[in-house]
Amino acid sequence: MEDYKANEQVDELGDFAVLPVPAEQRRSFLSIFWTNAGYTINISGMFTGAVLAGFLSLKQVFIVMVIATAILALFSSTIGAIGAKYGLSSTVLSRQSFGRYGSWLIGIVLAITLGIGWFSVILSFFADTVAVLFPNTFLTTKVVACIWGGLLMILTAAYGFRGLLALSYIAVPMMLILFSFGTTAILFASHLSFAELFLQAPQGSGTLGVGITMAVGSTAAGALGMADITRYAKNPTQAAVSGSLGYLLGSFFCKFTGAIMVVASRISLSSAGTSENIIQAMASLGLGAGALALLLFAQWTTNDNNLYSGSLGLANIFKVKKPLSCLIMGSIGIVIAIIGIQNIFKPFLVMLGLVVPPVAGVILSHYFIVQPIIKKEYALRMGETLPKVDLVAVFVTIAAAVISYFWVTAIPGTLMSIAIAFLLYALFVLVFEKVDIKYRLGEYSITKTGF
Amino acid sequence: MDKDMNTRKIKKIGTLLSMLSLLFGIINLTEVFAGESVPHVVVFIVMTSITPILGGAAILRGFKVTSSWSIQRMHNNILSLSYLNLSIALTLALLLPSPLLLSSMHYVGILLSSIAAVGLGVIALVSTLGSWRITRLSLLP
Repeated sequence: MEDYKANEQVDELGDFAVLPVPAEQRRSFLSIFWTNAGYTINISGMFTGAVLAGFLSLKQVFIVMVIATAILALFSSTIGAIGAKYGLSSTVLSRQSFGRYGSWLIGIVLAITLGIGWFSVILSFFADTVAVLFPNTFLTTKVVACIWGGLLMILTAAYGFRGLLALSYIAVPMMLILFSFGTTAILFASHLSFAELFLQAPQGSGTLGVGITMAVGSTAAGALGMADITRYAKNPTQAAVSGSLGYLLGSFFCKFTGAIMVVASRISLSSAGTSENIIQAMASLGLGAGALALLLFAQWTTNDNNLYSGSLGLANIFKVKKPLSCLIMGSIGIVIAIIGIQNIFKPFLVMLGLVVPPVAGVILSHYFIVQPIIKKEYALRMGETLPKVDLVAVFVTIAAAVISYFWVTAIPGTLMSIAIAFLLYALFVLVFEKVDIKYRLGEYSITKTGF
Repeated sequence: MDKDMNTRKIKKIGTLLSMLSLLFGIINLTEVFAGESVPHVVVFIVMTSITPILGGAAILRGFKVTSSWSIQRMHNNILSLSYLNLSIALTLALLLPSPLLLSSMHYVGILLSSIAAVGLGVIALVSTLGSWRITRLSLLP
């Protein structure tokens, strides 16, 4: 880790939103591990596992998950390691390759997709499930659940990394125990053994490649946010290892549990506790409090990270204190979830989300290929300069996003767009440097506040 | 009230809370071995977990005035440990009173709460010792 004199600069926005995290504020291996695991454990991951179990046997699902998690961990830990090296969030990291105003593109996309869009989708899903599982209670009506659930999610995100960390320390071990206990209790109630589950043939047919594509594609875009957490790691190695392990635990565990649940519900002869949804199955076994806690914490730990990344994106554009930006974006998300119009935005969010993976490709390409060639160190400190806009980075990102939209092959579109952006950015920059075409416009000097 | 006095006061509260959590840990143990009902023990387990967090937070706040990196690190570790404890305690609180466990797996509940009680007692002891050490370090010139 390089030695930065962070005290030269003033953290005006809070939580080092646009500044490198100083050495004395870096956290332990376990802290990064828990926070990452909290981010990746969510109920929608279980549904991906359930879909996989529709056309693959449990043994095949296991193999798919090992390979998919390894791919995701490799990609996200690389971004995470760069974030830890410089102590910067994904958005601020993108300033180096996109330029000061070019990085606004990433800030806007993250704020709209993660901070508002997906925040409202996950919140609405949470409130709907609570309302169905626990009817006839004031606190569990959809509107009220949206409000208290949303406020809890805003609370930890607004408190910054310390808030995410405290919640993850409390929630992740609890969720792992509840997941394991819930699955065991359900198998116990339905008189099934693991051996029976593994012997079951799938209903549909599909290949391992399709399974890997699905498992990777469902989470690859979120991997860009890894740097937002690992910027607090002590060094790149710690970030890469703890980040990958967190991914392994969270993503693997959720999807595989989802697959087990769907197979158990298919072959069980007992009506007790058999549902494709672990939350519903647990509630039917009298584990209502555990089911509610699992649902709440799984969505809370994921959604506060979404809001956190969104607020870091917004901080790159507007000089708004981070707690305030979390409150504003979170409140808009709550209103959207209450009105119930989040599904109208879904296609728009999915399309806008296509921009996210290529951004990671450009950042990686800039770090590994372009920077060693153009020999310009990352501008981090007050007075150091960045280009205002890097036209190649912006163009390549949009081009890769468009290609991935129309991409229909065995290789996941998200991974493909990362690879396209990585290669195109390096290629264009090398050519432009060789023939001396100006692609980095203007010069921006970093201020005392890092803004 | 000047800053030093304020700091000393917060430190005292922190140490007191940590000692309280140790006391709760000991009560947990005796309750479990005395054969108290599982939900009753769970309430104590949760209380045991919360007190070190409050204690740690109070001490940390007090040390903002005079803190060094090593002291902050020590406190972060104590807080993390307390969060983990709270996590396990809450999980037990959620699961142990469930009809499924109480009817068919009561012995599992007793076993788990015994383990939790011992673990929490040890952690309470560590946090108390940590608080004392921090207080001693802070008083050094």
